[in-house]
Amino acid sequence: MRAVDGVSLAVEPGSFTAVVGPSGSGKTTLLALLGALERPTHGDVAFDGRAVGKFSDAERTRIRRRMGFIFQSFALVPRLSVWENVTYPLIPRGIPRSERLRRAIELLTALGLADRLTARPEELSGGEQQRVAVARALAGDPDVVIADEPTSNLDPESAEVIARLLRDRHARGTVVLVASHDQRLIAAAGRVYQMARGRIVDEQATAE
Amino acid sequence: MGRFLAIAQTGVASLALHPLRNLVTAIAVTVLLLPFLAGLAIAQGIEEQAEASIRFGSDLYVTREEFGRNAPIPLAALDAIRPLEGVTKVVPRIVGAMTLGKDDEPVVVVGMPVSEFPAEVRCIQGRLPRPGKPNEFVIGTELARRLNLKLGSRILPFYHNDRGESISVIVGVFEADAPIWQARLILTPFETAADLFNESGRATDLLVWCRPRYEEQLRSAIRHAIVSSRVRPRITTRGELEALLPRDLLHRAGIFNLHFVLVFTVGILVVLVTSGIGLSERRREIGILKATGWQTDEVLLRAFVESSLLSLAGVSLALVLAGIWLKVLNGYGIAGLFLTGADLSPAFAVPSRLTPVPALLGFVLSFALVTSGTLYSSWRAASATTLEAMR
Repeated sequence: MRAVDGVSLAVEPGSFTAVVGPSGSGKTTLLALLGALERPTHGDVAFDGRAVGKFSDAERTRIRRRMGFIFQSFALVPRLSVWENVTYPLIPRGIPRSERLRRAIELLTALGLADRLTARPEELSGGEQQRVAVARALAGDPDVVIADEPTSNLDPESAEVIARLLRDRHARGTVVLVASHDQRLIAAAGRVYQMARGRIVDEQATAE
Repeated sequence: MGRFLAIAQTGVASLALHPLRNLVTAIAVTVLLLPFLAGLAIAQGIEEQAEASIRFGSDLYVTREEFGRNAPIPLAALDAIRPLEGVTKVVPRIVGAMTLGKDDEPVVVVGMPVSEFPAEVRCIQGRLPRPGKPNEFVIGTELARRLNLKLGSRILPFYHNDRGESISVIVGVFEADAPIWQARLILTPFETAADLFNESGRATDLLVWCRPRYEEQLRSAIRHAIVSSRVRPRITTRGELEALLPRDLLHRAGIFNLHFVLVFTVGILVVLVTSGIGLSERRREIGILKATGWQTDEVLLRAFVESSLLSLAGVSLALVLAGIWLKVLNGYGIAGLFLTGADLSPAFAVPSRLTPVPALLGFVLSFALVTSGTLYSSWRAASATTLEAMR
């Protein structure tokens, strides 16, 4: 069984793209392939015109460093504090601790978590955890933000904060690729792909 | 450089992130290394004492060779050796093994002129035997305790020679720098030892002291002086003895090490299990790191630092405990593995020396143990596809 089959799409620089579809339609797998988290069994994914499917593990990681991935399940390290979770990806990039801390404070303040810097993920609500995951994805100033259902199961307030932040990033030139049912995000997208049973069944260009 | 340091710091910090797992692993490492380090320290201590004994002994040891083995040498050889150039002193000695007591306790009897008794022997009770007084013994403290002998104790006839049987008396109890002596040695005048073994007119060896750099010259001179159709001398220098003596110790240490290898093998499995605590959590954590831009080698560096610190903690704890075991508890339970005659709780100071080499070896073993458990699992997780590791 193929999770994604016969899919061909291009995500243009500076674009805001949404992928929609029912659960199990292949949205998450597609994002994982585009985010260099999974290797395609057939076909390839190109980033900046270079096919990454056959890239080494190290080369794929280098590409991932140019992306910020927001997981539906948050994917926070439970034993690290909020600010450590946000800045851990910056450590191998050689960014000094003071700068890491500055970025974490800036992002977490923007996301309304300035008072939760030293809290553990387990002490946060689902909405707060997702905001931490968003802060982590944005902390490295990525060229591309890939978000898998970033607002699902969140309270309206948290969902609005995250949607606004993604729109702001896009406005500053960051590519945003999002799988979501959230109308706030879909409405912001310049292109929307509809998926079903692993295939793209519809494509709509909307006014950005 | 700053990047590596920052990654290394995350390895240090991750020790605190998984306190239970790391504590269990460090304790497992400590428990495994402790007897090994203590054993090596005792073996090293004994070896050093043996070397010291030889160093302070005579320059040459003269025996007779019979069927290719050491055999008693006639005392007549003394007169042939004394006038040789370079010789400063010649002392006859009898060294023999026998058993004493109802449990047939093994003892070593050393008989030599009382004036030549080793300087390291200190009588803490009684006195040394008087020249010309037969059947007077001085025994080590530990041997006295085991045989329940005290100053003035009489030992019923335990040997028989051409002149019948004799009652022996304990006239002194000694302590020595070499604790092995305290555990097994009986010192007695040369004549008494000759009676004991019914070897009148012969010694097991002649101890020859000479002027510096005369050893080799004297070796051939002595050979020429005493060789005959009946006496084929065997002359051993101090250096040769130093090379020969540790063999038995090394043999014991070898057996100990062999046993340790078996325990070590089991230990790896134990540490694999203990470090497996929270393995799924570690796997997921590594998956998240990879997904957020950590390279495999960076994840491994982090795990390497964590493993190294765990190893260091384990071996440090083991070293401290080994020190306590050896110095405070006096090698309780383990000394008997290396020292014949020492029981569970030796009454003498068990020789031991913790040198950097066993400590380093302990760290290497400790590191091998921990990395078997942690680094391997980290590598597996880091090598898996990112999403698979995160599941």
